[in-house]
Amino acid sequence: MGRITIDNVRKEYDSDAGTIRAVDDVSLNVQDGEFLTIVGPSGSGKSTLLRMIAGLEDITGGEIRIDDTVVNNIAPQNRGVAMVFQNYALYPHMSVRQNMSYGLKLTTDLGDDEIRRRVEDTAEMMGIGDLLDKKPNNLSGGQQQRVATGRAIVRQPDVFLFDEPLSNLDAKLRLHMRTELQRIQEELETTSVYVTHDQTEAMTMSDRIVILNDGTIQQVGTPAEVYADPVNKFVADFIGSPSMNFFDVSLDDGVLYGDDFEYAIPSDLANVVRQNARSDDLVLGIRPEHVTVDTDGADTVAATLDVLEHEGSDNYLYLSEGDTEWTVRVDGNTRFEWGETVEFSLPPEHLHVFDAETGENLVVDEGVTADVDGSSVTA
Amino acid sequence: MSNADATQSVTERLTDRDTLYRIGLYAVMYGLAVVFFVPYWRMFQLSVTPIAVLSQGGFNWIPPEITFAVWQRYLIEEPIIYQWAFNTLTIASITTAIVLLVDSMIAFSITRLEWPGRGLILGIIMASFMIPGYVNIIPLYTLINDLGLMNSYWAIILPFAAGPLGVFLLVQFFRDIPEELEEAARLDGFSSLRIYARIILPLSTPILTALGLFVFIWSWNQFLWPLIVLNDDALYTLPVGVVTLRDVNALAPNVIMTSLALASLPLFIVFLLFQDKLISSVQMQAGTG
Amino acid sequence: MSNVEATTDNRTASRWEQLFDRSTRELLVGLLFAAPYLVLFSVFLLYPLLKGLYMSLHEWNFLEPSKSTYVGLENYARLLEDPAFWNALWNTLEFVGMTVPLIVGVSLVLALGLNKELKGSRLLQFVYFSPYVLTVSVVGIVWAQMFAQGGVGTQYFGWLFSGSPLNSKFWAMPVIVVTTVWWQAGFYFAVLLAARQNVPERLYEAARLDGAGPWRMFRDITLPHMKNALLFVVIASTIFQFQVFGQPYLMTKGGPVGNTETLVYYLYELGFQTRELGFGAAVGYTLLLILVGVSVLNYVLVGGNDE
Repeated sequence: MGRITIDNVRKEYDSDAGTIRAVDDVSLNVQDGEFLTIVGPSGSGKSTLLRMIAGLEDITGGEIRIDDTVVNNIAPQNRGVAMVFQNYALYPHMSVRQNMSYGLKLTTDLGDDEIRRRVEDTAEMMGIGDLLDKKPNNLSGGQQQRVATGRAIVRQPDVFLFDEPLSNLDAKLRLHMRTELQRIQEELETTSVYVTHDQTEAMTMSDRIVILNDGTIQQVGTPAEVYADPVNKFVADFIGSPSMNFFDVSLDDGVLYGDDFEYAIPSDLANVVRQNARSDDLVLGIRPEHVTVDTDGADTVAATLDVLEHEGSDNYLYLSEGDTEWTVRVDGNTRFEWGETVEFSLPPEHLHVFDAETGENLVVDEGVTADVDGSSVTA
Repeated sequence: MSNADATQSVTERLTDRDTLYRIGLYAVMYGLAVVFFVPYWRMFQLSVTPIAVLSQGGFNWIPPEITFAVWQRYLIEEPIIYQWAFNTLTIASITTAIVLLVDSMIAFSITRLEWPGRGLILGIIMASFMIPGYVNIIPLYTLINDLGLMNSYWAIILPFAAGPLGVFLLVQFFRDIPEELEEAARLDGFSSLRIYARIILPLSTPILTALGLFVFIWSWNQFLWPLIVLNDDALYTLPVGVVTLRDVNALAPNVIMTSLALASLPLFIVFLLFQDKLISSVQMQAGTG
Repeated sequence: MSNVEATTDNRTASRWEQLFDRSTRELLVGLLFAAPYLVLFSVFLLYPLLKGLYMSLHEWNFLEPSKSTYVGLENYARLLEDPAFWNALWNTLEFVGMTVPLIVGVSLVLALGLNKELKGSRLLQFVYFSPYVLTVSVVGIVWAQMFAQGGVGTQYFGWLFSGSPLNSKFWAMPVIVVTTVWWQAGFYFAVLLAARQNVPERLYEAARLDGAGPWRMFRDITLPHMKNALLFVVIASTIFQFQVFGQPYLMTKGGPVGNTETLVYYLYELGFQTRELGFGAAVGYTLLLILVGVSVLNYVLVGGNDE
């Protein structure tokens, strides 16, 4: 079992500039066996939240439960959690075998034979069986990462905690370890909380994603949900790569007026926006992959091609018109010339309109998006 | 081609100057080494010169006659120097052990455990760094006297172990051990004691060795304080003991020099064994100074 | 997951955790680890320091401390008028004033010379550094011998002195200074060698391309990079040499006519020969103030000009 319940948790630090609130009233449920990723920019409080679950940070207010036990005052080693650290935190003076077996020796009553068997099984599973008698300093970064993960797995905890475990690896290895970690998690079905600043990691690995900013939860949802229906501009901007195009616009009679373009939108969309908007200052958002290049559509926007980026299967067009810049994804086979004027349309089903002041998404379909405070979320 | 010629002549000139420079450098450095070596040579030379030659007066670099009689006498017949060596060794070893243990414990506590007031305590210890040991000798003497510790090893060990240098060095070092290691250890179920003993200490062997060597040498070489608190032949340390031998053997430089050579021998061996360690530990101290 | 018994059962607070909250536990464990040193520190360093201040305000009776009488600042007033104190202070300053520059100079020469690749540099390093591991008794007695009848110093420099230099009012102190430089320079040499080796070699390469000669490289690259180490050498050796005791005690007994009697030597005489403990404590405190002043002054003069 490994259900985590986080209720109105706060974390405050005292500093010279007064009290800093690193985590502000966060509530969240993690289901047993779920792979939950917490993403956010640095300083968003994601690591602090994870470390509070681990017991490495005191909880200023609120409650964290694992299954039915309140763990606020329980020592880290007694919480049934295991953690993989960003810098691996392998004990440099101990062999891989000792690194992996230490936790078992101290927290369980297992006999030496049983411990050895478990360590060897886990090492086999992680593909580090032949490294057991080496010291961490003699291992490559990828191998160290495997040992660090193995050290967590061998404990057979109820909950895995990952603190940016792949950020010290090079790009190729990171990709490989990503699938590896997913495979292991699926195999073990252990509840996992994974912190990263890399939205691609979050999107590809998780059952659900929590997006954190300034210590508060912005949105909780499956990768598909947060991608398709971001509740606010922050989430829309953070999820997806390259990020969404944003333009300051106003809405008048079913037409969006930007600085250097205007675009008519369907009346039902215009109605929803008008209904939800609290002011005339709006932000239009559309992802690069949703902009459709068609030269002969009825309503199109035109812009000049500045830069064309080949990325193999896709091309990215960087277009501008006046001060307005567009990023557009097109098929890798499409050909364009520098300086060419490109015409494109914006499919209404992919349009997002945000309140310029609050950032709130005005066209979110209420039924799809998770409750912001997360307390009503079920997997 | 003129270009190539010019380059070549420049190199030649450089090489000439270089050679001269290197000859000069060797002359200076080895010359200084010879000067530095003279006192050692005199110590050894006099220790093997028979008293008959010495009493004739005059000066020699190499004695006309050589005898190891005095060495033999000290090494085989007179046990007192062994007694002093034993006292010195005991005092230096216990001091070193205590310093390494208590200094690493408090440094661990200050850098790795969170409790209110640790900053203040560290501040006071650091401030005491400014206080040179000797200025305290009079009140310290009355304290040792009141505690009834006169003429005991502890009179020398305890005040020395109270010095802040080790705490200072270890605090610096412990701070640089990544915190994640300790957190991983806590999740593995390490108690504070185990983190100290199994993580922090093993990772600190370089600095602990350096500190240990230094404490050992300083403690071994102490002179003024043992002179004050030891008043019993059998309890003397080597540095104090050899001075009494000089006063007794004022007319026999060979005897004096033999005892000095013998007294220096143990630390010389330590230095030979740990030359690099010792020199790098000097550098560690300066790095924090 | 098949195996959960190992961890799940443990998810309860231990007795220790139930008894105290987290911060109390940290405080208790923290104090437990700090206690042994704190006891030593308080009893053998802090307490004597305070007691020294207290004693310095009394006419102290060693055998029966309760019969000591409070005299206020009288000991300090007496000290200001005590020619022996001023003599000791002057001798100490003379000693430090000669020793520190020589130590800095010699150790710098040794360090810069040995930084070049020389054959036998390990041996040289051993020779330069080794006197530092000797005890002052060995150093003092050997050097006294070298300037006695039939000693090497007397043999080659005898024409400078009439009779033994250690009995000469003029020469006694310089001999003690040279002795000290031989004994101590190796330590500072090691410090400076490390500092020199930490200067990135590329800087010299860049300077050579810029056309700098050896002197310019020394002045513009070596010296600025070794500044902190030199500062350490100056301050550390000043403070250490201020406390000189063994060399005059062993070589001259403070003589001739008190000409090499230093402050710590004077302190020693007051405390352990004439037993004027209260007055001695005042001398000790004065020495302390001087040394703190010296470090501050040193820092301001030598170290303060880069910020």
